Amino acid sequence: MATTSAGYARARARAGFRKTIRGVVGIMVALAVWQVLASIGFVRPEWFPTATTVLGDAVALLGQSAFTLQVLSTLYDMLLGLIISTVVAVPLGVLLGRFPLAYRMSSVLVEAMRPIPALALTPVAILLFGLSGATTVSLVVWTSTWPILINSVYGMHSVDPVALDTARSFGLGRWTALYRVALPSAAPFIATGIRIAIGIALAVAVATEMVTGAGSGVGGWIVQASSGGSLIPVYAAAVLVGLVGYLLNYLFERIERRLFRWHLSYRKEGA
Amino acid sequence: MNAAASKPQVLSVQDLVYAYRTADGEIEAISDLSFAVHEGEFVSIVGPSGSGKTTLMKIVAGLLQATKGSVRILGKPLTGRVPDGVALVFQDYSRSLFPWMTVQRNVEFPLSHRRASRADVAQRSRESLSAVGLVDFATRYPWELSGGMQQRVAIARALAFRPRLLLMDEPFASVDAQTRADLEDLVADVHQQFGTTILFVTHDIDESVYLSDRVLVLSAHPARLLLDREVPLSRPRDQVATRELHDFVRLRAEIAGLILRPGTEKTASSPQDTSPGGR
Amino acid sequence: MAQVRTPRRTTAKEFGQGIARWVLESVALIVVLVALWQVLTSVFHPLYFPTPVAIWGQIARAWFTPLGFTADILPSFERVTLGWLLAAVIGVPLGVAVGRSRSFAEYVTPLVHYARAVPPPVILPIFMIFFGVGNAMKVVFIAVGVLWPILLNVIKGVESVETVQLDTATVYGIGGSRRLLHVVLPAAMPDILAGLRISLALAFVLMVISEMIAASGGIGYQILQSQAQFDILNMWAGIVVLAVGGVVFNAVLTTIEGRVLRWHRGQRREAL
Ligand SMILES: Nc1ncnc2c1ncn2[C@@H]1O[C@H](COP(=O)(O)OP(=O)(O)O)[C@@H](O)[C@H]1O
Ligand SMILES: [Mg+2]
Repeated sequence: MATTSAGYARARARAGFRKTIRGVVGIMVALAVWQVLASIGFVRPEWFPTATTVLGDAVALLGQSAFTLQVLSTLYDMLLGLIISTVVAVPLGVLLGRFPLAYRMSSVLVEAMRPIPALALTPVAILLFGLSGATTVSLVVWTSTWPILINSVYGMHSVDPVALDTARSFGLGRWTALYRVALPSAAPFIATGIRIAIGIALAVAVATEMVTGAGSGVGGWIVQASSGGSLIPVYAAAVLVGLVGYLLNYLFERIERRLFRWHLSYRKEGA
Repeated sequence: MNAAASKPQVLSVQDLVYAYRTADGEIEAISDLSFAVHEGEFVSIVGPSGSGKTTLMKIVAGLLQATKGSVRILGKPLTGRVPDGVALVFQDYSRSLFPWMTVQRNVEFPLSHRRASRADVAQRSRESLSAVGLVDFATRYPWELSGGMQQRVAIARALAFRPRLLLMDEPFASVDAQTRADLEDLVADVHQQFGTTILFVTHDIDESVYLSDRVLVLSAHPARLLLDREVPLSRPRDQVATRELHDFVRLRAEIAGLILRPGTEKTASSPQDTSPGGR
Repeated sequence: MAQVRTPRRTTAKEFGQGIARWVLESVALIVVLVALWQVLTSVFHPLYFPTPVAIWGQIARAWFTPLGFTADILPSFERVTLGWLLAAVIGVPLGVAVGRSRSFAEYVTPLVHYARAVPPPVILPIFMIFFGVGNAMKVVFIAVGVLWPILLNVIKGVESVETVQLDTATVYGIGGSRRLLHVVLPAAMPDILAGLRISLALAFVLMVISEMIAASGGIGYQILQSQAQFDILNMWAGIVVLAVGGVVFNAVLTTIEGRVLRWHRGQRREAL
């Protein structure tokens, strides 16, 4: 054939490069528009600072441990919450996915609990855990558990029964088959659940910190910084925290894509 | 010699060249192809996988634009627009049907924006659904049907459109043998009953001989015409008896020789013989 | 003859039995849990956990009153609804426009990904300066916060429309608004609705945070105030009202989704 696989790989790499360039151009254009709008000055500069001011301030913030330590604290709480909910929700989801009666019994309960907004439970968490990181962690756990649980169940439901039967016919025990066959083929769905959870966990963590108002985490920092009257630090923090969230998401997607290349329909997902 | 040759040309392809433009330069898929299809004719194109058959169909349907050469439909050159009166049945039936529409909606969808009355549209869809034996399934969704039935829906949709030229791109490549035989006879019936002009692409030599009035054989990539031959078999044909006829067996062997052992093409049946320019 | 996989029609009797079993199996678990809660709390009297009966009494007394409705319940759900709808009305057409053009999408998508990654609570102070602490601020805040996940899902949905389906439309001369309305939108609908559902959950979070930080009314405000004043019963009443609201909103959306995407679920079931 005329086109070699190396040729296709090269073409793909070139398309990827073009995509990156275009993405950077898009962001540059947005920054330029921001800069121009802010320079016209129809809004007070401390309310709507120029892009260069904000970026400069963001760079300065990076050097301040008072800020970076709070970011790390928020990230720590968020990741801890994510890990806890993964450890809880995946085995639970696998079990619910394997045992239809358990699934049927719990599905209405899950559907009823899932939409309860995490933030509504803030006061309860404060009562139980005080104004501490544990409050943040517990609310991240609440938020993250549902998408991971539901996608785990969904992943188990889409395990090919033939694959399981094949495994059993090779003499694998019930639990070994579950662990060796069912879990790997449900893994892409579980990963989707975790990705969805990441998307909302950071927002919940920051929001909790703002409500508990203990001056800890990014949320606490924002509350204090915005009390001064100038919004410039808020903009700068938003830029940096957004970058952290973006990288987190990007990293996870990369890992996901690498691990589950074999999975045909990883774009089809339930949430 | 050719009874159909006196009829007007529905499709004429002249000196067609097509090259895909990719990031790595050009990939020639079709190199210098000429042929014609006349009204009421059933013409098969047979060629190995990857020879450029789908590319040719997409050009004729107006989905791709020729790099060089001309394509005329009913005498009118293709000019970047999708030609009127051409329907295409894709190989990939499960994807070409719209899963959010019922079978009937799928069939009527291409009609409803033409200035046809509701009654006329309903009449036409009913007629073509009954031609493929699916009237009872009009209110079903495509995914409720088996693969062979889905392909029949795609055929019914094309028929209801009443195309002047029906293009079929390996329509039966992914159905089982029995369904395939049924569908072949269905298409042959439709051709007889409606007098539709059909250009039928396949990589199956038997199928091309069994179905058509004329067979065009394409070379491996990039596509050139190796043979343009009348099929000397009477209609109606029979899945068993026709395939045992001497003429069938001989033509099949000749085509197989061309495709499987390239470089043995005979001058006696050179493409110029029936090329549109030669008339 | 080709065989057809016919979903067997259920009889009325079977339907009745199905409902009975569903009630027995799933609602039973909830009833048992609530009863358990009632028993445990009335035996042990834990400080922070009132009995369900007491909570219900509080809801009836303090929340399901004309004042409770107009001052707290309605404003909260109005903010969620308006903010979310505003984002949907902007996000869906915008996402379709972006998704239709490959190169446009390549310019814009990283920007949208970035905007989505900024946790909305971080920029809440900005909205408070520009829009005050009234209703408009909350609606706009919610709308801006949930716009991005909606946009991303719509773009993804429109980009993943099958080429064969678009080619089919082209061959049959279907272009313009008919193509958009009958081919592109339905094909992208599973992703669009998934985006709307994910963002509804986010909208609730944003509604509560905006009410807790800057409001003088609304469920979020009441819950936090009650906790601060150690009115544990009223706090729980608020949480239950909010939870029920979340369940109802979600149920409505899920029902609509089930209707619109009947074909999608059926198709997926066949594919598995
Ligand atoms: N979009 C494309 N870009 C580049 N090359 C293509 C593309 N589509 C097809 N080709 C190449 O063109 C040749 C003919 O393809 P096709 O027309 O699909 O063959 P056939 O239908 O006969 O199997 C093949 O070698 C294929 O690799
Ligand atoms: Mg092909």
